[in-house]
Amino acid sequence: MATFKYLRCHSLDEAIDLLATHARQARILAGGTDLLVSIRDGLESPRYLIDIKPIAELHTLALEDGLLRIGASVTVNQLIDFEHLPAGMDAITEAASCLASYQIRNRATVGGNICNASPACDLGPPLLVLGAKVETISKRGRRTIPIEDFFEDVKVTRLEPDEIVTAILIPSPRGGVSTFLKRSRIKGHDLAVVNAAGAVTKDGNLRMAFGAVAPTPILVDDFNGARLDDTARIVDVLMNAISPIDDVRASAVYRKYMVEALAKKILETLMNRLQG
Amino acid sequence: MKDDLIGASVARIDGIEKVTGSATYTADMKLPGMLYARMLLSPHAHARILRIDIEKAKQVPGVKAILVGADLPYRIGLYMVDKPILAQGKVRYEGEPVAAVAALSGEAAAEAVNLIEVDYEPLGPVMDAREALKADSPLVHEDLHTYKYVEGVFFPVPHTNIANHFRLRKGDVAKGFEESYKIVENEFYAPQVQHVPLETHATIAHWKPNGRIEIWTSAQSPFAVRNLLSVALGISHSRIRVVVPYVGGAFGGKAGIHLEPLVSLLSKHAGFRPVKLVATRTEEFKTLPCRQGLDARVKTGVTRSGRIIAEEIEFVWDAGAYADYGVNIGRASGYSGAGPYEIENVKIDSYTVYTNKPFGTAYRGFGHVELFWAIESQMDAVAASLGMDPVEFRKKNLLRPGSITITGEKIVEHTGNVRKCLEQVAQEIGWGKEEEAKSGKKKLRGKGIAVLHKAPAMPPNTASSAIIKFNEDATADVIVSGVDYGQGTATSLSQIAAHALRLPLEKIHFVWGKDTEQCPYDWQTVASRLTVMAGICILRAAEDALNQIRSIAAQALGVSKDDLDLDDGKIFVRGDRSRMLEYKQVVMGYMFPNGNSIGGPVIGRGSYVAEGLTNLDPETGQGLPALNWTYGAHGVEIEVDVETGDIEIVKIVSAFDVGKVINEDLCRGQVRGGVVQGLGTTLIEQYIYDCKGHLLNASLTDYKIPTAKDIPRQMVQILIETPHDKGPFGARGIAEHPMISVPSAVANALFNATCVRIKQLPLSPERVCLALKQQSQG
Amino acid sequence: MKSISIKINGEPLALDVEEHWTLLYLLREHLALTGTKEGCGRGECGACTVIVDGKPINSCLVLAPEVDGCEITTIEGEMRNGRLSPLQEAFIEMGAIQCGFCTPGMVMSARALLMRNPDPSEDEIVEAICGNLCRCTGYEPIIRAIREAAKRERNHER
Repeated sequence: MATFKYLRCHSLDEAIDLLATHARQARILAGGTDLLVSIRDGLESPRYLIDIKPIAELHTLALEDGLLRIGASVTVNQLIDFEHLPAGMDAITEAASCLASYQIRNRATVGGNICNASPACDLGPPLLVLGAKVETISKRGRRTIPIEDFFEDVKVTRLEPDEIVTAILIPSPRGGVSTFLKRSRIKGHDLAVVNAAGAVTKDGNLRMAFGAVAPTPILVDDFNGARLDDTARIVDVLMNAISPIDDVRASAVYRKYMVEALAKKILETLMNRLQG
Repeated sequence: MKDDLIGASVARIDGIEKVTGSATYTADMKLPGMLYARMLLSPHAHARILRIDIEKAKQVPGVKAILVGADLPYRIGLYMVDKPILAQGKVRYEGEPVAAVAALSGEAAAEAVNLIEVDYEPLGPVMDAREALKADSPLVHEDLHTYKYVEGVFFPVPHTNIANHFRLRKGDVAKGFEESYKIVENEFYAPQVQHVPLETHATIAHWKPNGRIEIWTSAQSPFAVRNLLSVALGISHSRIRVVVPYVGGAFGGKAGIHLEPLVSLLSKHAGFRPVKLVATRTEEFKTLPCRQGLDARVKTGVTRSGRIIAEEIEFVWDAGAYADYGVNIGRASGYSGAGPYEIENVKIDSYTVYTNKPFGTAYRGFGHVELFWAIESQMDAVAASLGMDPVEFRKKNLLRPGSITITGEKIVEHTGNVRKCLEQVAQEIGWGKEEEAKSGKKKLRGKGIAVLHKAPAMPPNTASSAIIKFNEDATADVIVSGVDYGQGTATSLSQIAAHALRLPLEKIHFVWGKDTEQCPYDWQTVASRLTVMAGICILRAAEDALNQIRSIAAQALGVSKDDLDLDDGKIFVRGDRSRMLEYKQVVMGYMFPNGNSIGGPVIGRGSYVAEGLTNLDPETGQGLPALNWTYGAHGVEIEVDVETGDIEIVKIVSAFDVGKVINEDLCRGQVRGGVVQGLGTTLIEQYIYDCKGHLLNASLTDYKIPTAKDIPRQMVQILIETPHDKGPFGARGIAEHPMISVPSAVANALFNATCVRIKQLPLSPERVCLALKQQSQG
Repeated sequence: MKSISIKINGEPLALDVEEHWTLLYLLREHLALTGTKEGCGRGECGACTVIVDGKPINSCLVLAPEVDGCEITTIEGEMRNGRLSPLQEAFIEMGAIQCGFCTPGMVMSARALLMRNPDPSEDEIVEAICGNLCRCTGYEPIIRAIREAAKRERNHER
């Protein structure tokens, strides 16, 4: 592996100082499950890795005033095992549970999954439908970015080079329901061919999100007033929203079929959950 | 006691070392002064090398040797000598090694590799084997006519991309088709796939100042490595030592010779220091060999009652850039290409064709997974065209005692019983009974069946040998050179040795590390031949040792040799069991009370060379190529999700006529593992390229193999025992066979469930889904 | 170079590591713990699985300096008092081993599972070893071995 300097941070101030100093030559190291592979493949060669895991506050996983706070260093398995998850957030745990393998989930962080900004990232769609926000910090201060504004392009986010994600905040669904589904080439440990999440608020507003069908995970929240059981109209809207490509994992044509198939199953589950 | 040993489920003898992490694989080893090597790989599928500049690379601290193709004027190959050690003049596939560096650390070697400058002139890549056959196709090997190969066995066509053209002619196909009631013609395609052993190829080589070469390597066959290296470099066999420690899976991909020549020469050029090269997973996919692709056209003529009377088969094998092993896959698939059926008129042409892709080699089944993909899919298609039940249709045509195979071999009782395999599989899978899909309305159920056969593909003079030497306490060291890279052969051979020596199993020490300097010759551990051929040698070595024991004991006890019984490590005088000796009183020589001694250390030797095999007629393919045939059948029940295209394997039943089970658990283990590996080929695996010949899925991220979540809900193994006349206790090989015909059985089940016949592997969810959509849209 | 302190298979150890070393590289090349294997270097195969602070991880995706202060268990730490663990015994008895290259990682994943869940269901076993590829056995005997070992270890503890 290429050489770099490993910098271990114990406070946020230290981390943003280091990042400000080294900006474009540094990468934040959380779980490392994407970053170390990129470095090994020679796709990136940062001179500094800033390990934020020793920073205590980034490990917060708690419900605060109806807001689920997932610190940037919280691992995917910690999220799955979190006992106080509010009702209606099934989409996020369902997605977390089928992200990579058990070993990877012990290292991979929720923050890292979205910062890596793969079009197929499994946590993108559930965070989109649940209306999550990304909390960040830099020397210039803190800000909160709605998740739908966070993804910019394939593997590109709207984070500034000197900015660190500190937490992901998910508002309590308050009576709403959600779900997630994923299609891969195999049943085991694989990237998504298409992944999808859906959520319905208590008053019936539908939000759906899909991954691996556009340069970023995409949110669709305007269905021209289609009812939940009007599958055909909903699928029409989705087909206009997605722009899948052919790649090594699947063809665009198959991805379209899978968006339709997943959307139908998700709508079915949502309706069942609303009734149940 | 000993009679129970044959067939017993003895736990594998290498279990403790493997489960504690103490089993040493090549990559785990270090030698004093050892250097580390890295390779520079071609970024092009086909290109002329215009210039290589290593000046900057040489400046990297710690670099001890840099080699390029021009330094290594050698060609290597098992059957067709066509492989350079490093690309010479041009590169023939993306991933081909162009240069290599040995340095004090892997990092220094990698840095130096990055600084080697190469200018290429890209050439049009030959990416399709059928296109490669056309007269105007670019040539992958312009100098094919100058290459050495095994003459009289292989038939390259100079100035074309054809590395071998195998011909088989039996009867008169034209007449057969004329007389046919129906003729069914189909084309089937199987892409290149990879073995994916968990351990990548690894080699440590030490070229010593005295000219001797010592090699530790993850190879299937120490003697094949030694022989090919000896021939290629012109160095006496006696000056090369090849040691094979534990090997982490091979499946054919580690047969023949791979990294050993390069690493040896790096060692020589690095001041005679040992050098280690462990392939990265990317190199395992891109640089090291894969399984050949196959495009098969099959034309079958049948009578109204369902007898096959004519078959014409054309196999076009996509060999990739080199065919040193691949030519024999073309040949072996040719001589068994019609399957276990009696057909009067057969014409087979099997072409092994060069393309600009990673090259193919042996892979569990040696062409038979691919050929049976075509043949057993075709059998169902023919049955469907006749409106016949696929099992009944097969039964009408299966080989039986008295049948003549397509190469002219007469089938007898002890050849094995394919009919029994088929019948038992059909019964166990509930053939003919409809099953309702239980998992929901959008799923369809179907059943499929397929048979198979395979014989070891090897030269007619293939040989093995074994030595049994006794230790002072009358434990016995059993030494063969066959490599147990997971199959469990070492355990079953130990059982055979214990049985034959009349010793308890714990008194057998199977010598693990395979060392050409200390172990007796064995051709290669391939072709499901080791239990049979090494087994015969062990029986012979044991008999030799026991004869020596008998001779010594007869003198000691003052009786005739023929009056002695041997049992449980003791020698008894027949009729008077009070007069006895223990082995340990004899195996180092017997000493009379007065000190006079006779005999001396007992060493048994056993040799075997395949007997009665012949080369095949160049024009007609007639002759005897097969030491033994192992027959089998699979029956599978699937559930298809019509929306997503997912195939779920509900149950798979697999039957094999193994002749005699030596170790039941290990035997079942081979079947289970082979079936799941076969499902990888069936459902998931394939090499994917862009139009320029770049491999797009050269990692385990995008080349998926089955995980624990991807196995069938139920797997059943049926072991049938029709004893073979040559094999030890009647045993036949079983290692490759479980993988064969899994794809066709599943495709037949898919047809049964959906009426859609897919002719291209893999049956991925995407391919199935799109085929179903196409069907429903008319 | 960074100085780190770890506990490895129960023994405390202080050492200097290069900052870009992976934990896998440290174990194999500098601590002579070669039971842990490298199969892919990118977290896909699980051959390098070890247990860090009670959790199974891919040691190819963890940097050596990251494990400062951690407790690490490798396959070499699975035997107790010179005896095979019930898990190891079950692997041998059930035919869960062929070539053996995935075995150390597989045993580590299984060990970590039994630590957090002494009575796992078949689905839980499958989930726990899904990140460990095996090309030889077809997984079925591995699943059986883990189930059997769980039973034996539960009985043993009672």
